[in-house]
Amino acid sequence: MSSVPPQGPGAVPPPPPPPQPPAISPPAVSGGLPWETQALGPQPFFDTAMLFIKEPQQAWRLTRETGDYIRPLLFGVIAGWVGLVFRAVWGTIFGAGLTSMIPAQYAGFTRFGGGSLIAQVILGPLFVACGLFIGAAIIHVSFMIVGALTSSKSQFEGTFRLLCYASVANVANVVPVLGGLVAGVWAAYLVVVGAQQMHKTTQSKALFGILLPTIVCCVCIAVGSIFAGAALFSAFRH
Amino acid sequence: MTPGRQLGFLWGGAALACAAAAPWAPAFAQGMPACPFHWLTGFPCATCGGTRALLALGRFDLGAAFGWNPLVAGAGILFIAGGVVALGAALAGGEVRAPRPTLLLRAALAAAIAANWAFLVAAGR
Repeated sequence: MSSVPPQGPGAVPPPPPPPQPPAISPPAVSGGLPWETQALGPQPFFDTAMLFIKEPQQAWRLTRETGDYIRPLLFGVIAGWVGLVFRAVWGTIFGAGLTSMIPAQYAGFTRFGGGSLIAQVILGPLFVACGLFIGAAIIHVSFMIVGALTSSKSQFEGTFRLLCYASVANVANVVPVLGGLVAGVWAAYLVVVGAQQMHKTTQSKALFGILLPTIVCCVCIAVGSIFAGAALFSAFRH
Repeated sequence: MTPGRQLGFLWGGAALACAAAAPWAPAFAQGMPACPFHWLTGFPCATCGGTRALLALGRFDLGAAFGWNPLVAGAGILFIAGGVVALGAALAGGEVRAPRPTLLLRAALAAAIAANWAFLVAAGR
């Protein structure tokens, strides 16, 4: 028996076709970050980086909470090292000029982060890896104190993953002078968004957790940033 | 390799790298500016003396390290010694687990930061 409806003038019209799915394109990736689900290579790195840059919420949703330290570390080291190289190059090109423009009483604030270009480039991956581990430990203690980890299953590994993938913000260092500041703010934003996903916490606790080291432990950095900003403003006015 | 074992290698590697870099720390620290909070208010911030504490640790001068900043000195020792232990455990096939954030641990951490700051203010750092 045929299922084809009869054709002709008196035939019953066929039922309407089922509704088409909405025209929204599905996410480019599903089931995990390209960096964590595909073989290591440049393409998964760029796909993952672009995902964190363009759609951070989606990227954090795709990020696994636990299971591996090595791939997030590799991602963080590559992204951080690229930023470090740009910062070192801009520092070599513009550093002396900027320092000479800044009033003498503020000059001390511009010296930090020196070292030869070659040393920074060669030892950069080691610096970045150690920095990610120590930074994750500090932020994790901070999250602990503000109670952002009470519902977390991933614990320290989650915080470590947050910092590693938030290192993508270091691409802002391609911008001379102000790139480092932009990278810092952008990374903090990524960590706050990611912590809500990875640690199942609230936005306010995530924000307080990321700001606590700055408020309590590094008041110096906050005040220093204000001075550095004032110094730059003063330098550019003259 | 399990994540717990990876953590052991990671912690141990970071600790050994930092310990190996200790001889160059004084040169690196020369670029550090003075604490602007202290300069502005006359009071130390909670990490004032931290760099000098770490430099003293690098010289194995524990007394000076704890005198400059007890919290930073303690954290530095915990980081290096813990890293060596974690590396040993990972090499032996064991796993490292971060402590669960109990209420007691959270309170102890907050109290340690507050006490450290009070000590720095009282000591006139």
